[in-house]
Amino acid sequence: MKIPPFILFLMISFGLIVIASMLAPVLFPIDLSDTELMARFKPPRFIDSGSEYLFGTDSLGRDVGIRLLYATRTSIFIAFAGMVLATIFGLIMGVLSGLNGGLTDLVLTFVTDSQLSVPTTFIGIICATIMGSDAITSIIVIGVTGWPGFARLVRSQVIQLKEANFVESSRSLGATKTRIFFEHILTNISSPLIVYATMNLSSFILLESSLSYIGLGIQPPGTSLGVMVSDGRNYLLQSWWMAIVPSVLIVLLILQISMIGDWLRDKLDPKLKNKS
Amino acid sequence: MIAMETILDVQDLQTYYRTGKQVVPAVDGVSFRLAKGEVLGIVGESGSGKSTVVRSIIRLLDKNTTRIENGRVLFRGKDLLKLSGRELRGIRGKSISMVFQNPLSSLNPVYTIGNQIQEAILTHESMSRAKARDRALHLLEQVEIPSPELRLDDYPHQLSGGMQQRVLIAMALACQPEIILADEPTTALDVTIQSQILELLSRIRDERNMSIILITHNMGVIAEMCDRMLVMYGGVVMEEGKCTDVFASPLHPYTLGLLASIPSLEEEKEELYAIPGQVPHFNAPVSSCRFCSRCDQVFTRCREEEPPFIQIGDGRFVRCWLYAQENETNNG
Repeated sequence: MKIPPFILFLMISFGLIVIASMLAPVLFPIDLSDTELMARFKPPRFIDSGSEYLFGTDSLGRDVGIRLLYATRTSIFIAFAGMVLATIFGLIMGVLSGLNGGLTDLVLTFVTDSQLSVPTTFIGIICATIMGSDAITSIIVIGVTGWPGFARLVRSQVIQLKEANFVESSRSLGATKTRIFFEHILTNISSPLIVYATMNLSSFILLESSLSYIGLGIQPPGTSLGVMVSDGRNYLLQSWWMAIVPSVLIVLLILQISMIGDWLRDKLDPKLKNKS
Repeated sequence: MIAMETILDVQDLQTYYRTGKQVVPAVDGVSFRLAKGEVLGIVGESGSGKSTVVRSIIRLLDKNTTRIENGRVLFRGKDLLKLSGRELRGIRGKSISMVFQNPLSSLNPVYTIGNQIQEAILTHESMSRAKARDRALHLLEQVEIPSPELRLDDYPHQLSGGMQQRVLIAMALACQPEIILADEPTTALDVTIQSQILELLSRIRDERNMSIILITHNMGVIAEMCDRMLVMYGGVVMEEGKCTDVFASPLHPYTLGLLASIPSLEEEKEELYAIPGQVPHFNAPVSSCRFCSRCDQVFTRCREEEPPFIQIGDGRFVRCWLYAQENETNNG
């Protein structure tokens, strides 16, 4: 498989961000609740070349750069775990509804559509009220709001595939239903599912940030990208880097993932594959 | 050709489609026998029920819309219509296999063809992967695919249509079935490839003394391949006989019409002959000749009563009131 240089660049830069954030506790072992009031609002090095902080410090004198790594780590972890949850749940619902048809399909489709009509923040508030605001809640909120898309995709694929000629051909050769499901249906769903999951990972990062921003996600002293943007909101005029640096990172992450996902979609689309 | 062993006996098969409140008799009382080593052709327009007959034999039908209402399909003394799902899967692919019309879409795009042939083998026989691969290679040789050891690791879309159909035939042959049901196996292929595939099927039939039911709407294919033929229309058999007899002296006005629609190389005609009208929709029960609305020899009785299946000679039947005068007693 040939990867265009630009996509390769995106993959490497995304990989570096992920690796750096995962290694944050090893590279910069700090206590997130430590503050240094003498070093408040120190500007980043790209403004004041004499500064000892690459991305400046925040209102409590904490290093924005180091906190950024910890925040990215949390955000990516939550988005990824939420994506896995949404994928698994959506896959199960989509398969059940697509394979069985009839009443099951009707009920599950109704549930899916009802789910889509409930605002995400509302779900977030309810979940936070019931379970408290922490990482687990954020993952669940992402899973709960994310699955309908997956379920719809899987359902339409299953309905198409179960009528496919190769499924019939396999039936005519004596294959069992289980075998047909795992060998012919699931394998053919997997590539659109991977593409859809990748494309959605970026929106899940955004969702996690929004939840934390409105205070429903990660709570201090823990941090995530949304928490950092939220913290910086009050100092936007004097210490703008506090909010802008994490915001730029959010934009970068989403752009990288979306563009990689776009490329993956073109690459894995069986219709395009036949032409090459 | 005398006193051949009957391998498949279809008796009064009725398969109905249900769409909403409508009941469509797709197959409405079809009976025939298939002898060992025989090639039986079923010919008819789209919608005549020929595919449904063949699918009913191994019950490859959509359960939600299609039901086999009546009939028996005897294979080695067992009624296939009464088998459990498990027993039926033991027949499918092992004793009776099917070859489909669209070779590319009948192969799973995500597996190599070698993989798919191996699966067909391993469904019914337990052996090691390596052995199954050997058998798959051998099968590809038998269906005359050039350099089979290279093709084994190809994906379906990398092969041409003719090669894909050969792969499907290899899959159907994987467990040495006694009967092959070929549902328009050459319709999606161009003419030269068509005749190659037919030759291949004939050769395999001769080598293994297999029986084939060949569905087609092409009279030329029937003439080339088959021993006996059924002409189907509107879910019933209109005419049955040895191909030589039917081509030499077609009886039913529908068969005459089909034969007249074949373009001829000798005669120069401005326009191709076509039977007027389309296959009408029937609702059960039918109380007239099904062909009466399009027949050029229609008379009053045709519209009032469905004609019986009248025996004309040895293994020669026709469903038409034109032949009823002499032979009123038969009933089909």
